[in-house]
Amino acid sequence: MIEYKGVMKSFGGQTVLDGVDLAVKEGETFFVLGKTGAGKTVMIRMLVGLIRPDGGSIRMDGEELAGREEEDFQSIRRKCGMVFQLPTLFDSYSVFENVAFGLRRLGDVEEDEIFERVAESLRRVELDPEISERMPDELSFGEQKRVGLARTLVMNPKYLLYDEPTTGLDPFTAGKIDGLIKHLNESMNATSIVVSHDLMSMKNLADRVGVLWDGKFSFVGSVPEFMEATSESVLEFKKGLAEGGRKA
Amino acid sequence: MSPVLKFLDRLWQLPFLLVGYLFTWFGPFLRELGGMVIFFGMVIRSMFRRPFEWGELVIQLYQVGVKSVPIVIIAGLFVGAIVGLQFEYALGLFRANQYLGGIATSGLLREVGPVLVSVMVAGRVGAYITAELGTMKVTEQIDAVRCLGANPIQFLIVPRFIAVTVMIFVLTILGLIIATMGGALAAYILADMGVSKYFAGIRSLDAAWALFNGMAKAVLFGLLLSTISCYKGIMTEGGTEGVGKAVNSCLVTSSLAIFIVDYIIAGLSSLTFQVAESLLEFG
Repeated sequence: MIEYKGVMKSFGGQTVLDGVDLAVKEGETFFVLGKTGAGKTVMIRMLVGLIRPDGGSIRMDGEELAGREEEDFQSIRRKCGMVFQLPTLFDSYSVFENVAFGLRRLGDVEEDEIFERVAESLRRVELDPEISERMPDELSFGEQKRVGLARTLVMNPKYLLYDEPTTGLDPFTAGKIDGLIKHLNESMNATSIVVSHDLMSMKNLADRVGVLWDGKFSFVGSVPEFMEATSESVLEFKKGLAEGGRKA
Repeated sequence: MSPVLKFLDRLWQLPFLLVGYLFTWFGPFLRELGGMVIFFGMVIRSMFRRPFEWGELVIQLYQVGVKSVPIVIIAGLFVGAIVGLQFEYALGLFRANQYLGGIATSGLLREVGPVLVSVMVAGRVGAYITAELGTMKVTEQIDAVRCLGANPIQFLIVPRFIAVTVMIFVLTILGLIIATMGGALAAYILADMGVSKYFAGIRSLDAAWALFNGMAKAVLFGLLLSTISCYKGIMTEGGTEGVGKAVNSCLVTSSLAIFIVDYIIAGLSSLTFQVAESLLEFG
């Protein structure tokens, strides 16, 4: 379980998160909606220690994350799989080496096991393990995103954190990525937080939805509740005023 | 890591932090300098942590060293020839051509060789490292490294830092050998001076001291360039435009730093000679 309590964050005097409260339940897919710059990405980056909160408390499985030092985040990072907005593949490494990167850092995984887990992880994201020897620049953007996802999944994380997973993809590929994420979340029974401003993705993936507005959640509820809500922030999304996203 | 080990691990980094933070109190320039001092301390600390990324080090040694060999050979040959020619003309005015080998080589070993190789490597390798790390930073690859359980300083910076420092030293030695050969070749072809006569002149001057001086500079310039290029890369912000700015800043900063430090060493070296001379006279 992940809990945010009164989480604050400012950048250069501008408040981004102003006392965020949220509890994400075990096994659910929580979808965070918000305009660009609303602090959605900041929220999930705090879970893996890439950004530190200015105040408040963040707990994961009862462990406090606020105030931790860099070295003390290693155990937390092993539980979390972060899927970035860009594929973030290492250009000088082959697909195999990219996917195997995290396993090699563990230091105690045999080469045979690494080979099997990489192949399995590539199959999970519907890629042929035959592409293992290819370099990232030989893949399409959609394939690169899948390899990035495979690199996260190979670590068998308990929590999956998706940062704008469909950004930069055409509606067809975005739909396929949504389907893949849904299948993975169900098959792995992982707890997921998806950050996006894509309403179609929300409909496809979310168990619950939260709208981040002026530094706080102005709405938290199920998808049907979201569709019927009439608050200003929710209406703005439903009218398609939010930047970028595919309309539901 | 136990709290005691963690404390000891950080204790020795304290001088770097103190000097670094002291600088950060005075304006943007010294803030940057302070940042580099702190960064240098972090890199040195990370060098002794396990696991050491041997594979990445080999890749960087190849990228930095082997790929720079042709340019160092070509530039070294021509610079040696130019220095030889210039001195041949000047010494000819005083009918002192027998000193050509000694004076040209001394100048090459002390000043031209280390500075030239370092500035060339700054242009080729420093820019490459800053651009590579800067791109990794703005495309979140460095964040991905952290999320996958690796320490970016340990995984990305330490191998590049060691590769640049070691390879500038090796390339400087190579550059000096080639430049000396270039000088001898120019003297032979254009000044009709025999190679044995040219090299006899080298022995007549303090070649060993000049070589030591040059090597010491090569190590120092290597440390400067590796710190500046890695620091500029890892501190890149502002997308692709930021990468361009970081590369530009790396080139300007590292070239200036090399010239300034070279001047300081030349001053100190000259002072050492004067003190030694005074002591000898006094004795």
